[in-house]
Amino acid sequence: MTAWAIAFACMVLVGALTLADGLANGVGSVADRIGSGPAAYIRGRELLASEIDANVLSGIPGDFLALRAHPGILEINATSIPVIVVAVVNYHAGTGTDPYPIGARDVSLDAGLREEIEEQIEAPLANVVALDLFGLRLTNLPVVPPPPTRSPLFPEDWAWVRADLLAAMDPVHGGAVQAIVTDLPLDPPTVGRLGLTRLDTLGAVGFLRAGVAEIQTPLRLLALLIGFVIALLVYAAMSLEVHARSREIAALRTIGASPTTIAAVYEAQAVLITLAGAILGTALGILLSHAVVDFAPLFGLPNLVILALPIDAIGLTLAVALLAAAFAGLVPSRRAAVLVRTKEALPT
Amino acid sequence: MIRPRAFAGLALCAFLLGATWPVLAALPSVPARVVAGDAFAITQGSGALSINVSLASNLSARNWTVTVSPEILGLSVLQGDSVVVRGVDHDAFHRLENTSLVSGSMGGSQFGLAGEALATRFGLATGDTVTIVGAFVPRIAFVRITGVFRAESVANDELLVDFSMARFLTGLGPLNYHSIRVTTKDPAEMLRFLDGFGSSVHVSGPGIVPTDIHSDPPNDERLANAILRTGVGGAPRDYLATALGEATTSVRVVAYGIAILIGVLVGFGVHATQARAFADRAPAVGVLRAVGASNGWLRRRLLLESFPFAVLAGLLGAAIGFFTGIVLLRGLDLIVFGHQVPISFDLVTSALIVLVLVGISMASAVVLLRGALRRRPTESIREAPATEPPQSLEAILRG
Repeated sequence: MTAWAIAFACMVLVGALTLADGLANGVGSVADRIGSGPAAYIRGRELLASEIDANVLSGIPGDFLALRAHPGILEINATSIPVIVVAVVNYHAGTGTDPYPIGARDVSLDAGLREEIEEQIEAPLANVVALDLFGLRLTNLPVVPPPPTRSPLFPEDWAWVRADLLAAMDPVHGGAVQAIVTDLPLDPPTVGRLGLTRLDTLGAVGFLRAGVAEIQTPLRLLALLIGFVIALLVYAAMSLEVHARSREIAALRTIGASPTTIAAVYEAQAVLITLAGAILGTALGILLSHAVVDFAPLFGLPNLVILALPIDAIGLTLAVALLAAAFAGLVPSRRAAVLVRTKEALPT
Repeated sequence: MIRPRAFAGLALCAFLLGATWPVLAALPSVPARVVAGDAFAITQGSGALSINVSLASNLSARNWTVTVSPEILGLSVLQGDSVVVRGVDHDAFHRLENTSLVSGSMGGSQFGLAGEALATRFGLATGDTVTIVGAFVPRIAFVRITGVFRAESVANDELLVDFSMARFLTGLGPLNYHSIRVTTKDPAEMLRFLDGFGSSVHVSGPGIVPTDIHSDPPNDERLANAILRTGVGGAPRDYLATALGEATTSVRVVAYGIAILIGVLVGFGVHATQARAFADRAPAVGVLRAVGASNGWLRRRLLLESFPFAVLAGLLGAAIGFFTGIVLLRGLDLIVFGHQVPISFDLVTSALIVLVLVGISMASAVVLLRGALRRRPTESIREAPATEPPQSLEAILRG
């Protein structure tokens, strides 16, 4: 009965994980098909807080853009406007070029930003601006036309400056690069060495992948709960087993079995019962999850779920079950080992 | 004939269902709530592009509409997690959702308004700037949070931006929207108007059957198949409606699948509990049969005795499980596709839990009695207590 109870508990865990993995596979297959466009590599989770050492960029193979971006305040025509100040350096074969603007102190206001400012101030733009960034204020910076070319990735409401200007204002924060933008993915060793995270620029793909990952969190909690249930079942079963077989234990002790041997026998029994239950439950879980997905279209529920052999789920389930059994079996096993000393178990 | 101590086992099984089934039942509703909420949602049909400025302004001009909110939906990522970025006319949206301002300001031609739950989850405050990537086209943009609002709907987990930003993120044309949400006093008049206007749309909302006007019905399989076969270019015009259908059914299959697995576990638990309790009463069956009780009488007697226990255990266990589930979920912050899963008291799910528990209990009782009736009465009558294997679920319940 205990093995069956463990089997059904494991069935729930394996089945739930299999179904969730199947949804992830289905969503992933659509997401892969959509593609993810150019990739941005950042450190951490937020591009604006990312800081990549600019000195390592020349060692990265391939062509890419090094993007620096910081929120700042632009003062123009006596009006303060929050803006994103960016600088882009093109890297080709390890050499970086800073294409625009040309002048070291130039500020290029992009077309959308110009429109926005003109709407706000209702006057032609001044030729110079002041810029508040990194707690510093630079004044009399010349305003130059919008960049002649711009990646379609970027909006047209940024203020463009040279990378040198940002580095000069703050060598630490201004010198660091926020993102490496590339059409082709960086090779994994480089990504690992620099501690980078890929930011998909096509949000729907990231949305689907992250959405499925969100479902995994409660399932991990379910694994913990199942582990607790298994531990409880094993503890109760083994406690009763020890109680029921106290005379046999006493007999074993009489003929020379050591306490360690007796404890090992009961610990092994707990693990074996659990292993049998977990294997049975795993098979049931896989079978039932396939049945659910395969029969769902017959009930008007066509779906994207693509089931595969849930190696991770099986591993997790067996690990949780065996760990729970090993821990839960300890107390009854120890009780069995010391039982004879209490003389409760001696034959009368 | 089934002893009252089985009550605890049945209640525990009902508790398990009460704690999990309402959550699983709520999961599939998330995608539909994102698009429609509590209003009527008009989305693009399979025909000519129709969800645009012209349709929105014509709807606004009708006296039967209360609020018309044209919207652009962007599926994006914020700090590695899913987030829905919704392009809105903030006045119309706030009227529709009845939102209230928590901090900052609601207005301006360029805005980024974070729902309170979203702001809390990501630690956002007015004045912060966050990175948002494109929804359906590759883009990188930065949104300055100009205000934080509170809503009772899914919008509380969303980021609202102006149409200019939403169009940049989604690649949608300058006159088009993804959906127009409407509150109206006369849904039938709205449908007649849409028909007369020649719009190719899907309409869904409270109290109406999803309607296709000048459009083929959304085919659940079309979007995934089209994308898998041809890439994004093969997506139908009404991709929003078809994607919504696919997302809903896929999540439903997973949620219902897990619910079935838990149901099987509960079925086993109920039967094991009742088997243990019934084993001690087998002699009573033998005695009753010996004094002339018929099989039918015994069956009726057993069901009559078991029924109140099962109902009471189901009600009690389900109620405790439901409230425990709510408390746990508040602590766990269960998020699916960027939205907190709304768990509310659902009479249908609660009734289903009790019904399932009672059904399993009755079926188990009949099976147990059938086994007892196969034996001769004299075999059932014994002095010694029933010898069930000690590793039963009842052992757990008895500590």
